Amino acid sequence: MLIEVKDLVKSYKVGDMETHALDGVSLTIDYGEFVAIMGASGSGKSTLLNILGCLDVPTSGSYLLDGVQVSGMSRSELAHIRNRKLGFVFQSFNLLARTSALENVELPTFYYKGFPSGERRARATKLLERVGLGSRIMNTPGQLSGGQQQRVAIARALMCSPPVLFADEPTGNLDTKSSVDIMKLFTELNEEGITIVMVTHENDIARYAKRQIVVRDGKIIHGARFESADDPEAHT
Amino acid sequence: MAEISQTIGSVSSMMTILLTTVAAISLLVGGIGIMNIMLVSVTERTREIGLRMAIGATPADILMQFIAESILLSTVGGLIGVIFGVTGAEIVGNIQHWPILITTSSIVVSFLFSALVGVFFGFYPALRASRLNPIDCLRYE
Ligand SMILES: Nc1ncnc2c1ncn2[C@@H]1O[C@H](COP(=O)(O)OP(=O)(O)OP(=O)(O)O)[C@@H](O)[C@H]1O
Ligand SMILES: [Mg+2]
Repeated sequence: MLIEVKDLVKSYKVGDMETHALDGVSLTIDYGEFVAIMGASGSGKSTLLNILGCLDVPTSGSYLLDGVQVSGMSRSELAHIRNRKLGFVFQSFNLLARTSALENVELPTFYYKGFPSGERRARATKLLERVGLGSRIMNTPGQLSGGQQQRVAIARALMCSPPVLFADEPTGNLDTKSSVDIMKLFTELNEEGITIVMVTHENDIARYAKRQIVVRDGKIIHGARFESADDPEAHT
Repeated sequence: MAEISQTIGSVSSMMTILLTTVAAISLLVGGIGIMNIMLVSVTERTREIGLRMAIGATPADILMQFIAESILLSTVGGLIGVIFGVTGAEIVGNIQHWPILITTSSIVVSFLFSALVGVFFGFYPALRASRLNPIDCLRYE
């Protein structure tokens, strides 16, 4: 299993009010899956994705990622995991302004100790060609359309060859045509073997995924499919 | 004769104390200025910090990045200071017909000292940046 989480709880305390953004989530995701996480606004989709992406830590619960126990890791250990094993695509692209597409894509390798610096440029160029931006590598984000910026972000996410890609509403800021382009790209990447976990509230977008998970009030109400290696009952 | 040389000696040591005090205050004010600019820079670049953390920057990486920027700022300041100091001394020397003695070591020391000011006053903003949570940074508007 690539991802195996058990009894995830995430609570926030604002003033005297305690809200459970996640209220006991157990879930497994296998290598090579393409999963869409769906649900109403405020249901806890982003919270779940951020925890799966090691950007946030749960209040309680356990998390096995690629066979490694992630819960309890230090901040720098989590940073290494994010660098080597996880790729992120955000709704708002999050590219560095006034920085070329090429340099944006190269960025993750600067946090990858031992990445051969001679290969950096060649690999970034190849990835930008892969996402269809071979003729725009020197453009800054301001000189690219939204759809093109998102493709730069996808190339950046692929730079350290992670097994899994996380995307929180990747088409949220895009028009229909660009959205379809991005989803076709995701489908191709998934066929090449990359696991994709994506949050969306649009049915048209979720349809591209092979598996849909529905979250409501911090609980998975559909598509959890939990199979634990150390829990034989789950197999019966 | 002895009295005159004694007077000159005490005047010159008083001048040294005075100038050192002025220099120390300038350094303190300049350093606080750098700290202020770095704090603003950290706040303005919160999302960038979040993004860098998301793609693998460790807290130590972020700390180093901001300290490096602070050192850059302070050594550029140091460079400008050295240029002003040397030309100022030459001009005053020319007008007053004083012999001017500028040692390499004094330039090197003041340069190193400005780098040190950068480290010292840049440390707190950089530490603040490194302690931020990736998810809070990415959500920051
Ligand atoms: N930092 C926070 N502090 C307090 N409450 C939070 C925080 N982050 C999220 N929440 C709460 O947790 C719940 C789930 O939020 P989350 O962002 O996961 O929803 P979502 O499903 O992604 O919604 P949307 O579709 O609007 O993005 C919400 O009720 C939200 O108010
Ligand atoms: Mg959300």
